Amino acid sequence: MNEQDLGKRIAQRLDGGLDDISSNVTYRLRVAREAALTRAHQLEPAIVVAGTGTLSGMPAWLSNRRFLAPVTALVLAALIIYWQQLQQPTHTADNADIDAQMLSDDLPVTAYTDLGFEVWLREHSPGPSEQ
Amino acid sequence: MLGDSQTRHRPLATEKELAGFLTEVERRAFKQAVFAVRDEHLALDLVQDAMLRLAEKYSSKPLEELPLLFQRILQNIIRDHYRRHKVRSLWTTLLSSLRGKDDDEDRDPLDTLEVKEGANRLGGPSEQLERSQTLGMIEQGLASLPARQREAFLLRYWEELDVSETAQVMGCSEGSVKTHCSRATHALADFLKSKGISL
Repeated sequence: MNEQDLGKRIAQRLDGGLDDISSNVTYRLRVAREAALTRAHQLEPAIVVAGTGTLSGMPAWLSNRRFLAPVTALVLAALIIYWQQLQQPTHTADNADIDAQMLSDDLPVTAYTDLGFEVWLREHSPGPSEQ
Repeated sequence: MLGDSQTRHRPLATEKELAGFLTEVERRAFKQAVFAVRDEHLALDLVQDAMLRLAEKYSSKPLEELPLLFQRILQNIIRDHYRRHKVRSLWTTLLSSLRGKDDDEDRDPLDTLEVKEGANRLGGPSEQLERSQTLGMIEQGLASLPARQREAFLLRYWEELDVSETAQVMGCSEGSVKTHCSRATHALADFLKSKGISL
């Protein structure tokens, strides 16, 4: 006889023995069962309300953590991208102003790369006390 | 175990179904607890605890999930009892070593197991006696198994859980379940053979 056969035969014998359980035990089991069912009945309304998730007027999926985390991350990412895009035109406009001033000035652009001009500028510009 | 999303799409157990489920499992649960703790009153308390916990926490689950949940609760309650009993035994041993030896120290706990007479069964008296004695021996053999082996054996063969479900209830690997089951079956076979019982 293999392991499974023996296991099943023993289980059959054990099932047969269930009928021999005393009436006192059967009675106490019934009392325990009824107490458990009463408890379940008392808790039933609370469970239903929690299950529907409509208590606060919010859809159930919104209160689910598995949805909440990715949705929050997505909203944050969208806000960051929006903020960056708002900042970008300002920088572009500033750079464009500087370029326009340099090009429209009397001083040629190449003067800024001339080391001699930089020395001359330093020597001839008025100091803080002269201003 | 099923996830929350899967659970939502299944019909939840009605009060009547929960009652039917508890009626179906309560006697087997009681016997399992008796094999484990060897005390009928204590076993009844443990089964009552398990029923209450199931009703409090999981009565809103689908019917098909209840057997596994109930077994998990029951086995956890039995294990908790072992832990508490172990701590109590430690203190009792320490105190009794100070007081001296008890008279009934050599008593075999297996002697306290009752062998039912089976008076209300069908069949002749000799058949009833044979069946009752065999059952008594099986129960003795089960009670003498190590707790984990007995747990695995009863869950697999009496509760008819598969290896994976048994592993979930016992909180161990499927390999351990197979090992426990195999050892339990061989130990029971040897025990019954030594008593001259063939199934």
